[in-house]
Amino acid sequence: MDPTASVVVVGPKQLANRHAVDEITIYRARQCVFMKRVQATAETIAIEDPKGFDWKMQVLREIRPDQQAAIQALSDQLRINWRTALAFERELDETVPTLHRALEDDRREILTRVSEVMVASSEPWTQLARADDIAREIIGRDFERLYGPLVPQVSSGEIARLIGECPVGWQKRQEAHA
Amino acid sequence: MNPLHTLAELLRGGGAQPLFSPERLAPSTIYDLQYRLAITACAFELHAKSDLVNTRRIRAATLKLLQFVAIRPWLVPVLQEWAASQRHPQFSLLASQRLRRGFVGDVTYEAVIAFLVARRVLVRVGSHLVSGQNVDALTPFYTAAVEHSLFAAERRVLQKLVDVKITNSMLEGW
Repeated sequence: MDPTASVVVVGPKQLANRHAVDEITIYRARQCVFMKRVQATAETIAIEDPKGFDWKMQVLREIRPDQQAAIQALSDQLRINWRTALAFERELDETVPTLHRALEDDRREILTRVSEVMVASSEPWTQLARADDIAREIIGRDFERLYGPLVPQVSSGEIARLIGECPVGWQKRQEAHA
Repeated sequence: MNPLHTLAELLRGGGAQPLFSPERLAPSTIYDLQYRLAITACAFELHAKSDLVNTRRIRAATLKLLQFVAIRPWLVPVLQEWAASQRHPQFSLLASQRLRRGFVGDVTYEAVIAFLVARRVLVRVGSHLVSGQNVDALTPFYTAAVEHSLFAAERRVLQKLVDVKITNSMLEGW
Protein backbone atom coordinates (compact mmCIF):
# COMPACT_ATOMS: atom_id res chain seq x y z
CA MET A 1 0.00 0.00 0.00
CA ASP A 2 1.18 3.51 -0.81
CA PRO A 3 2.25 5.13 2.52
CA THR A 4 0.84 8.45 1.32
CA ALA A 5 -2.60 6.99 0.67
CA SER A 6 -5.42 8.54 2.64
CA VAL A 7 -8.72 7.00 3.63
CA VAL A 8 -11.98 8.72 2.68
CA VAL A 9 -15.20 7.55 4.29
CA VAL A 10 -18.38 8.23 2.29
CA GLY A 11 -21.97 7.45 3.18
CA PRO A 12 -24.22 5.19 1.10
CA LYS A 13 -25.94 8.09 -0.70
CA GLN A 14 -22.64 9.73 -1.64
CA LEU A 15 -21.31 6.37 -2.80
CA ALA A 16 -24.39 5.77 -4.97
CA ASN A 17 -24.12 9.28 -6.44
CA ARG A 18 -20.44 9.01 -7.26
CA HIS A 19 -20.18 5.44 -8.49
CA ALA A 20 -22.28 2.81 -10.21
CA VAL A 21 -23.59 0.74 -7.33
CA ASP A 22 -24.93 -2.52 -8.64
CA GLU A 23 -25.59 -5.88 -6.94
CA ILE A 24 -21.96 -6.92 -7.30
CA THR A 25 -20.84 -3.73 -5.55
CA ILE A 26 -23.28 -4.37 -2.72
CA TYR A 27 -22.04 -7.95 -2.39
CA ARG A 28 -18.46 -6.73 -2.23
CA ALA A 29 -19.39 -4.26 0.49
CA ARG A 30 -20.96 -7.10 2.43
CA GLN A 31 -18.07 -9.45 1.70
CA CYS A 32 -16.23 -8.83 4.96
CA VAL A 33 -19.35 -9.41 7.04
CA PHE A 34 -20.13 -12.56 5.07
CA MET A 35 -16.63 -13.95 5.52
CA LYS A 36 -16.58 -13.24 9.24
CA ARG A 37 -19.92 -14.97 9.55
CA VAL A 38 -18.65 -18.01 7.64
CA GLN A 39 -15.63 -18.22 9.97
CA ALA A 40 -17.85 -17.87 13.04
CA THR A 41 -20.33 -20.51 11.76
CA ALA A 42 -17.46 -22.85 10.90
CA GLU A 43 -16.37 -22.85 14.53
CA THR A 44 -19.79 -23.99 15.72
CA ILE A 45 -20.85 -26.31 12.91
CA ALA A 46 -20.71 -30.05 13.52
CA ILE A 47 -19.75 -32.53 10.83
CA GLU A 48 -22.71 -34.89 10.79
CA ASP A 49 -20.98 -38.20 10.33
CA PRO A 50 -17.20 -37.96 10.67
CA LYS A 51 -16.73 -41.74 11.20
CA GLY A 52 -15.47 -42.39 7.66
CA PHE A 53 -12.96 -39.57 7.91
CA ASP A 54 -11.81 -40.65 11.38
CA TRP A 55 -11.37 -44.23 10.20
CA LYS A 56 -9.25 -43.14 7.23
CA MET A 57 -7.05 -41.03 9.50
CA GLN A 58 -6.66 -44.03 11.83
CA VAL A 59 -5.55 -46.20 8.90
CA LEU A 60 -3.08 -43.47 7.94
CA ARG A 61 -1.65 -43.53 11.49
CA GLU A 62 -1.15 -47.30 11.14
CA ILE A 63 0.53 -46.86 7.77
CA ARG A 64 2.77 -44.04 9.01
CA PRO A 65 3.32 -44.59 12.76
CA ASP A 66 6.39 -42.35 12.51
CA GLN A 67 4.26 -39.33 11.55
CA GLN A 68 1.68 -39.14 14.35
CA ALA A 69 2.07 -35.40 14.98
CA ALA A 70 1.93 -34.52 11.28
CA ILE A 71 -1.16 -36.67 10.81
CA GLN A 72 -2.88 -35.01 13.76
CA ALA A 73 -2.12 -31.54 12.39
CA LEU A 74 -3.23 -32.60 8.92
CA SER A 75 -6.44 -34.10 10.26
CA ASP A 76 -7.22 -30.96 12.28
CA GLN A 77 -6.61 -28.68 9.29
CA LEU A 78 -8.75 -30.78 6.95
CA ARG A 79 -11.56 -30.76 9.50
CA ILE A 80 -11.35 -26.98 9.80
CA ASN A 81 -11.48 -26.64 6.01
CA TRP A 82 -14.36 -29.11 5.77
CA ARG A 83 -16.33 -27.16 8.40
CA THR A 84 -15.57 -23.93 6.53
CA ALA A 85 -16.91 -25.46 3.32
CA LEU A 86 -20.08 -26.52 5.17
CA ALA A 87 -20.44 -23.07 6.76
CA PHE A 88 -19.95 -21.45 3.35
CA GLU A 89 -22.67 -23.68 1.92
CA ARG A 90 -25.02 -22.86 4.77
CA GLU A 91 -24.51 -19.11 4.48
CA LEU A 92 -25.18 -19.21 0.74
CA ASP A 93 -28.23 -21.38 1.27
CA GLU A 94 -29.68 -18.96 3.81
CA THR A 95 -28.99 -15.74 2.00
CA VAL A 96 -28.24 -16.26 -1.71
CA PRO A 97 -30.02 -19.41 -2.96
CA THR A 98 -29.00 -18.80 -6.57
CA LEU A 99 -25.32 -18.97 -5.60
CA HIS A 100 -26.03 -22.07 -3.51
CA ARG A 101 -27.28 -23.71 -6.66
CA ALA A 102 -24.02 -22.76 -8.38
CA LEU A 103 -22.06 -24.32 -5.50
CA GLU A 104 -24.08 -27.53 -5.75
CA ASP A 105 -23.30 -27.71 -9.49
CA ASP A 106 -19.62 -27.04 -8.72
CA ARG A 107 -19.56 -29.90 -6.23
CA ARG A 108 -20.94 -32.27 -8.85
CA GLU A 109 -18.29 -31.15 -11.34
CA ILE A 110 -15.49 -31.51 -8.75
CA LEU A 111 -16.56 -35.08 -8.01
CA THR A 112 -16.65 -35.99 -11.69
CA ARG A 113 -13.27 -34.47 -12.53
CA VAL A 114 -11.50 -35.74 -9.39
CA SER A 115 -12.90 -39.22 -10.08
CA GLU A 116 -11.54 -39.08 -13.62
CA VAL A 117 -7.98 -38.13 -12.68
CA MET A 118 -7.72 -40.49 -9.71
CA VAL A 119 -9.18 -43.53 -11.41
CA ALA A 120 -7.02 -42.95 -14.49
CA SER A 121 -3.77 -42.57 -12.51
CA SER A 122 -1.44 -45.44 -11.61
CA GLU A 123 -0.31 -43.33 -8.64
CA PRO A 124 -3.51 -41.76 -7.31
CA TRP A 125 -1.75 -39.99 -4.43
CA THR A 126 0.11 -37.80 -6.85
CA GLN A 127 -3.31 -36.62 -7.98
CA LEU A 128 -4.51 -35.42 -4.56
CA ALA A 129 -2.75 -32.10 -4.96
CA ARG A 130 -4.20 -31.88 -8.43
CA ALA A 131 -7.65 -32.58 -6.96
CA ASP A 132 -7.16 -29.50 -4.80
CA ASP A 133 -6.25 -27.47 -7.90
CA ILE A 134 -9.32 -28.78 -9.72
CA ALA A 135 -11.61 -27.82 -6.81
CA ARG A 136 -9.98 -24.40 -6.60
CA GLU A 137 -10.39 -23.82 -10.32
CA ILE A 138 -14.06 -24.86 -10.35
CA ILE A 139 -15.10 -23.02 -7.19
CA GLY A 140 -12.94 -20.03 -8.10
CA ARG A 141 -14.75 -19.69 -11.43
CA ASP A 142 -18.04 -18.92 -9.65
CA PHE A 143 -16.89 -17.44 -6.35
CA GLU A 144 -13.46 -15.83 -6.78
CA ARG A 145 -14.90 -12.43 -7.59
CA LEU A 146 -17.18 -12.30 -4.58
CA TYR A 147 -15.52 -14.43 -1.93
CA GLY A 148 -11.95 -14.80 -3.19
CA PRO A 149 -10.18 -15.14 0.19
CA LEU A 150 -12.44 -18.06 1.13
CA VAL A 151 -11.92 -20.04 -2.07
CA PRO A 152 -8.70 -21.93 -1.07
CA GLN A 153 -10.14 -23.09 2.24
CA VAL A 154 -13.53 -24.00 0.78
CA SER A 155 -11.85 -25.91 -2.09
CA SER A 156 -9.65 -27.87 0.30
CA GLY A 157 -12.74 -28.47 2.46
CA GLU A 158 -14.60 -29.92 -0.52
CA ILE A 159 -11.81 -32.44 -1.09
CA ALA A 160 -11.82 -33.23 2.66
CA ARG A 161 -15.54 -33.88 2.24
CA LEU A 162 -14.81 -36.33 -0.60
CA ILE A 163 -12.39 -38.11 1.74
CA GLY A 164 -14.83 -38.04 4.65
CA GLU A 165 -17.99 -38.97 2.80
CA CYS A 166 -16.63 -41.82 0.72
CA PRO A 167 -15.07 -41.64 -2.73
CA VAL A 168 -11.39 -41.18 -1.82
CA GLY A 169 -9.91 -43.75 0.58
CA TRP A 170 -6.92 -45.93 1.30
CA GLN A 171 -5.83 -49.08 3.11
CA LYS A 172 -2.62 -50.77 4.15
CA ARG A 173 -0.94 -52.41 1.20
CA GLN A 174 -1.38 -56.19 1.39
CA GLU A 175 1.93 -58.07 1.66
CA ALA A 176 2.49 -60.47 -1.22
CA HIS A 177 2.87 -64.10 -0.05
CA ALA A 178 5.84 -66.06 -1.26
CA MET B 1 1.83 -26.41 3.56
CA ASN B 2 -1.48 -27.32 1.96
CA PRO B 3 -2.92 -30.24 3.99
CA LEU B 4 -3.75 -32.18 0.82
CA HIS B 5 -0.14 -31.98 -0.34
CA THR B 6 0.92 -33.29 3.10
CA LEU B 7 -1.63 -36.09 2.86
CA ALA B 8 -0.38 -37.03 -0.60
CA GLU B 9 3.22 -37.18 0.70
CA LEU B 10 2.27 -39.35 3.69
CA LEU B 11 0.26 -41.79 1.60
CA ARG B 12 2.92 -42.06 -1.08
CA GLY B 13 5.70 -42.57 1.46
CA GLY B 14 3.74 -45.27 3.31
CA GLY B 15 2.86 -47.18 0.17
CA ALA B 16 -0.84 -47.04 0.94
CA GLN B 17 -3.15 -48.92 -1.37
CA PRO B 18 -5.74 -46.63 -2.91
CA LEU B 19 -9.45 -47.28 -2.62
CA PHE B 20 -11.69 -45.25 -4.81
CA SER B 21 -15.45 -45.51 -4.84
CA PRO B 22 -16.69 -43.25 -7.59
CA GLU B 23 -20.33 -43.56 -6.51
CA ARG B 24 -22.11 -40.28 -6.42
CA LEU B 25 -22.17 -38.38 -3.16
CA ALA B 26 -25.69 -37.70 -1.95
CA PRO B 27 -26.80 -34.48 -3.62
CA SER B 28 -28.34 -31.69 -1.59
CA THR B 29 -31.98 -32.46 -0.75
CA ILE B 30 -32.78 -28.82 -1.42
CA TYR B 31 -33.10 -29.67 -5.12
CA ASP B 32 -34.96 -32.96 -4.67
CA LEU B 33 -38.51 -32.62 -6.00
CA GLN B 34 -39.94 -35.44 -3.86
CA TYR B 35 -38.41 -34.00 -0.70
CA ARG B 36 -39.62 -30.48 -1.44
CA LEU B 37 -43.10 -31.79 -2.28
CA ALA B 38 -43.21 -33.66 1.03
CA ILE B 39 -42.15 -30.62 3.05
CA THR B 40 -44.58 -28.36 1.19
CA ALA B 41 -47.33 -30.92 1.83
CA CYS B 42 -46.49 -31.01 5.55
CA ALA B 43 -46.48 -27.20 5.74
CA PHE B 44 -49.81 -27.01 3.93
CA GLU B 45 -51.42 -29.71 6.13
CA LEU B 46 -50.25 -28.12 9.36
CA HIS B 47 -50.82 -24.45 8.53
CA ALA B 48 -53.55 -24.09 5.89
CA LYS B 49 -56.93 -22.89 7.21
CA SER B 50 -60.30 -24.25 6.14
CA ASP B 51 -62.71 -21.74 4.66
CA LEU B 52 -66.48 -21.57 4.21
CA VAL B 53 -66.57 -23.42 0.89
CA ASN B 54 -64.74 -26.41 2.34
CA THR B 55 -61.41 -25.66 0.72
CA ARG B 56 -58.15 -25.00 2.50
CA ARG B 57 -56.04 -21.91 1.93
CA ILE B 58 -52.80 -20.34 2.97
CA ARG B 59 -51.08 -17.12 2.00
CA ALA B 60 -48.51 -18.06 -0.65
CA ALA B 61 -45.71 -16.04 1.00
CA THR B 62 -46.45 -17.67 4.37
CA LEU B 63 -46.16 -21.15 2.87
CA LYS B 64 -42.90 -20.15 1.22
CA LEU B 65 -41.48 -18.85 4.49
CA LEU B 66 -42.67 -21.86 6.52
CA GLN B 67 -41.17 -24.49 4.21
CA PHE B 68 -37.94 -22.45 3.96
CA VAL B 69 -37.49 -22.48 7.72
CA ALA B 70 -38.68 -26.10 8.07
CA ILE B 71 -35.63 -27.38 6.18
CA ARG B 72 -33.31 -24.97 8.02
CA PRO B 73 -34.24 -25.50 11.68
CA TRP B 74 -31.47 -23.21 12.92
CA LEU B 75 -33.52 -20.30 11.50
CA VAL B 76 -36.45 -20.87 13.90
CA PRO B 77 -35.08 -18.41 16.51
CA VAL B 78 -34.56 -15.83 13.74
CA LEU B 79 -38.19 -16.12 12.67
CA GLN B 80 -39.38 -16.04 16.28
CA GLU B 81 -37.32 -12.91 16.89
CA TRP B 82 -38.65 -11.30 13.72
CA ALA B 83 -42.26 -12.07 14.70
CA ALA B 84 -41.69 -10.77 18.23
CA SER B 85 -40.12 -7.54 17.01
CA GLN B 86 -43.12 -6.39 14.99
CA ARG B 87 -43.81 -3.53 17.37
CA HIS B 88 -40.37 -2.09 16.64
CA PRO B 89 -40.24 -1.48 12.88
CA GLN B 90 -36.56 -0.52 12.74
CA PHE B 91 -35.43 -3.57 14.72
CA SER B 92 -37.85 -5.77 12.81
CA LEU B 93 -36.20 -4.76 9.54
CA LEU B 94 -32.73 -5.60 10.84
CA ALA B 95 -33.76 -8.87 12.51
CA SER B 96 -35.35 -10.24 9.36
CA GLN B 97 -32.93 -8.98 6.72
CA ARG B 98 -30.95 -12.19 6.16
CA LEU B 99 -33.97 -14.45 6.41
CA ARG B 100 -35.93 -12.35 3.91
CA ARG B 101 -33.04 -12.26 1.48
CA GLY B 102 -32.82 -16.04 1.57
CA PHE B 103 -36.42 -17.13 1.33
CA VAL B 104 -37.38 -14.57 -1.30
CA GLY B 105 -34.73 -16.07 -3.58
CA ASP B 106 -35.89 -19.67 -3.09
CA VAL B 107 -36.60 -20.45 -6.75
CA THR B 108 -36.79 -24.22 -6.21
CA TYR B 109 -39.89 -23.71 -4.10
CA GLU B 110 -41.41 -21.60 -6.89
CA ALA B 111 -40.82 -24.48 -9.30
CA VAL B 112 -42.49 -26.93 -6.88
CA ILE B 113 -45.53 -24.65 -6.56
CA ALA B 114 -45.69 -24.14 -10.34
CA PHE B 115 -45.76 -27.95 -10.66
CA LEU B 116 -48.53 -28.30 -8.05
CA VAL B 117 -50.59 -25.55 -9.69
CA ALA B 118 -50.15 -27.13 -13.13
CA ARG B 119 -51.39 -30.44 -11.67
CA ARG B 120 -54.34 -28.57 -10.08
CA VAL B 121 -53.31 -29.75 -6.66
CA LEU B 122 -53.24 -26.10 -5.60
CA VAL B 123 -54.87 -23.09 -7.17
CA ARG B 124 -53.61 -19.52 -7.01
CA VAL B 125 -56.29 -17.13 -5.78
CA GLY B 126 -54.81 -13.67 -5.45
CA SER B 127 -52.07 -13.82 -2.84
CA HIS B 128 -53.24 -17.21 -1.57
CA LEU B 129 -52.83 -20.83 -2.51
CA VAL B 130 -56.05 -22.81 -2.24
CA SER B 131 -56.58 -26.56 -2.36
CA GLY B 132 -57.50 -27.59 -5.91
CA GLN B 133 -59.46 -30.49 -7.37
CA ASN B 134 -56.43 -32.81 -7.10
CA VAL B 135 -55.40 -31.83 -3.56
CA ASP B 136 -55.75 -35.48 -2.57
CA ALA B 137 -52.44 -36.04 -4.32
CA LEU B 138 -50.72 -33.89 -1.69
CA THR B 139 -52.22 -35.41 1.45
CA PRO B 140 -50.49 -38.84 1.14
CA PHE B 141 -47.11 -37.13 1.43
CA TYR B 142 -48.06 -35.89 4.88
CA THR B 143 -49.80 -39.06 6.08
CA ALA B 144 -46.90 -41.22 4.88
CA ALA B 145 -44.42 -38.92 6.64
CA VAL B 146 -46.36 -39.29 9.91
CA GLU B 147 -46.94 -43.06 9.56
CA HIS B 148 -43.31 -43.85 8.77
CA SER B 149 -41.76 -41.15 11.00
CA LEU B 150 -40.20 -39.45 8.01
CA PHE B 151 -39.00 -35.83 8.02
CA ALA B 152 -39.54 -35.73 11.79
CA ALA B 153 -37.21 -32.75 12.30
CA GLU B 154 -38.95 -30.71 9.60
CA ARG B 155 -42.42 -31.60 10.94
CA ARG B 156 -41.29 -30.67 14.45
CA VAL B 157 -40.23 -27.24 13.20
CA LEU B 158 -43.52 -26.76 11.34
CA GLN B 159 -45.43 -27.74 14.48
CA LYS B 160 -43.40 -25.27 16.52
CA LEU B 161 -44.16 -22.51 14.01
CA VAL B 162 -47.90 -22.92 14.56
CA ASP B 163 -47.38 -20.78 17.66
CA VAL B 164 -45.46 -18.08 15.78
CA LYS B 165 -47.70 -15.31 14.48
CA ILE B 166 -46.63 -14.52 10.92
CA THR B 167 -48.46 -11.30 10.12
CA ASN B 168 -49.36 -9.78 6.78
CA SER B 169 -47.09 -6.83 7.49
CA MET B 170 -44.12 -9.19 7.83
CA LEU B 171 -44.78 -10.53 4.35
CA GLU B 172 -45.90 -7.24 2.82
CA GLY B 173 -44.94 -6.95 -0.83
CA TRP B 174 -43.76 -10.57 -1.28
